[in-house]
Amino acid sequence: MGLFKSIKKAFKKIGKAIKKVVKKVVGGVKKVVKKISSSKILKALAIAAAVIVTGGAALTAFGGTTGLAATPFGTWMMSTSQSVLSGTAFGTKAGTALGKFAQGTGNFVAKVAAKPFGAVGGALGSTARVGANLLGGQSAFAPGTAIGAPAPFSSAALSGQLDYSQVVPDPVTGGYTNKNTGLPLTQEQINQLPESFTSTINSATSTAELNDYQKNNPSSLTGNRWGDYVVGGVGNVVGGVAVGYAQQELLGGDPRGEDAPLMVEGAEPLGALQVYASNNNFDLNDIYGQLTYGTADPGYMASTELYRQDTIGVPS
Amino acid sequence: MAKPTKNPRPIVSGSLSDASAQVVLDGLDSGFTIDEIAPSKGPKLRGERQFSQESLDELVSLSNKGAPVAGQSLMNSPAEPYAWEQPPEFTNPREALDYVVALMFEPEAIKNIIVSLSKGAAVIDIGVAILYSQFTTGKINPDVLMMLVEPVAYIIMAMGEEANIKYNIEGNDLDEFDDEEYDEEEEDLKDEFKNSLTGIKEKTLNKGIDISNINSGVVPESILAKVEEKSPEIKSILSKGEV
Repeated sequence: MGLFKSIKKAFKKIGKAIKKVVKKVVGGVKKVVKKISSSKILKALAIAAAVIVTGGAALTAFGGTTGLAATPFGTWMMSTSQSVLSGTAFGTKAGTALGKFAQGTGNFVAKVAAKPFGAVGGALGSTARVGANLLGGQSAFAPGTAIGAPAPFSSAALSGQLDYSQVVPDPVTGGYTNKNTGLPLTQEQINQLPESFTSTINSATSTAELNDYQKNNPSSLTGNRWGDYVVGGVGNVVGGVAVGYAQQELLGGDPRGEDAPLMVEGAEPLGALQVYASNNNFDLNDIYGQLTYGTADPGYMASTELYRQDTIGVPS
Repeated sequence: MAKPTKNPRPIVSGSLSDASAQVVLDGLDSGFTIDEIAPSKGPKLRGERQFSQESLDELVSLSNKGAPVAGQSLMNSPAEPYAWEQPPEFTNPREALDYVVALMFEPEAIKNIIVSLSKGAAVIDIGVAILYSQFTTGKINPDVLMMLVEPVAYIIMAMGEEANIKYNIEGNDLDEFDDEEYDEEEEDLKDEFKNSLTGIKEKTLNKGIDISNINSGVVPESILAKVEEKSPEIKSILSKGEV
C-alpha cells in the first residue's frame, strides 16, 4: 500500500475522531448549558480553536472591520496571557527555559508580520464576507456594507487597511464626508480611519508647516509612530528634525517596562504547564518540541504578547 | 453582557479539541452566553456536495493512466531524490504548524478554502490536500503531518464558520450535528420521563404505605358494589379474548 493511501486512511480515522470529540464536547457543554444547539457549540469550538492555534491573530483576521476582535469574549480570551504573565514581556532572555519561543522563528505572528500582519486581517475579513454575499444573493465579491471596508482582494484589503479613498475632510464641520454618498461620517466611522489619514499632517504638508507643527507638538509628529515614518520617509517632505525624530522612534528600540521571561521565577504562572509536563513525563525545557495547545501554552502566550504589543501599522 | 465574572483559566492540553472545549466551558462559566462566544450570522449557506459528471470523468481518466510499477521509485537516481526523500524542512511540529497556518491565511488560500467548503468539500479532505502537498514538497514528514491534522481541520472549520457556511467535516455529513441534536433531545425527554417515573416510585416506597392502613371509606360503598358487580366482565387489554 502506498504512503498516500495509508495517510488517507489515517486521515479518515482522524476525521472520525474529531467528530467524536466534538460530539463529546457538545454533550459536555450541554450538561452545563441546557437548550443549546450542537451547531452553535461546534462554531464556538472552531472559533476558540482558531484563536488558540494562531495566538489571537485569528481574532483580527476573522474580525475584518467588525467582528470577534471587538467582542467581549475575544477581549477576554486574549487577556489570558496577561493574567498568566502579569503583564511582563514574554521570554526574550536567552538561556531561560522557555526563551526559545521568543528566539525561535516558528511563531505565527512573527511570520505574518513580515507580510505584513495587517494583510491577514483585511483580506480574511473581506473573504469571509464572500460567503455572506453568496447567501444574500449579491455578487460574491461585493464589498461589505461597513464604511471604509475594503473591496475583497483589493490592494486596500491586502494591505489590511480601510479603503478611505472616498472619504474627504469636511472643512465646515471639521469632520469627514463620504464622497460617494455625500453623508457625513459618524464618530464611530471616523474612529476607524487610520491616524495617518486623520492627522493634520500629511504628505501635502510643507516642510515649514511641518516644522511648526513639530515645535508645537514636540512629543509626536502625527500622534502615531508609523504616521511619522510615512510622512518622513514615504512622503519625502520632512526636514531634518522630523526625520531625526522618526528615526529615533523607529530605531531607538521598543519601549518596554520590564524584561522578564515568562516569570519563570514564579511557580504559579507556569503551574498548568508544569502539571502537564509532569503528567506526560517530559522536561519542561523541552516544551518547544511538544505540540501543546491552550491559553497557558507558551506558543499561544508568545503569539498573544507579540500580537498585543505596539506594532507598526501598514500604509495603504 | 455584564463584565466577565473571572479571568480566563490557564489551560494546557495535548489535544486542540480538548483545549478549545475547556476554553469554551471556561467562557460560559465566566458569564458569557454561547451567542457572545459564537455570534449568529443568520442562516448558513449549505455546502452541499453535488455530483459532477465532469469531475468523475476526470477521476476515471486519472485512474486509467495507471499507477507506478512496483519498485519504480528504486530506479530513480540517488543523486536526485524526491523532496520527501530528503530531511524535512520542519521537524518541530510547532514551527510546521505556524508555517502551514500562515500559508492557509494567505488571501488566495482562504478564498479557495471557502469556495471549496461552499461547494461541499469536506474539512478533512481539504486538510489532506494542504498537508499532503507540504509533505510532497519536503516541508514536513509524515509524523508531523499526522500531528497537524487536528489544528488544520479546526482552522478550516473556523474559516467555514466565519464565512457562515454549513460544511462537511468528513464525507457527506452536513446535517450530522442536527440529527445529533434531535437524537439528544429525544434522549433527554426519555431520561426525563424515566426519572419522573422513578421519582414517583421512590416517593411511594418511601411513604411506607401499608394496605391495611388504607382508609376503607375513601371510595363510596355504592361504587365499590358496582365494581364488584362488573368485575367478571372487565378484561385486561392483554387478555387473549374469546376465540
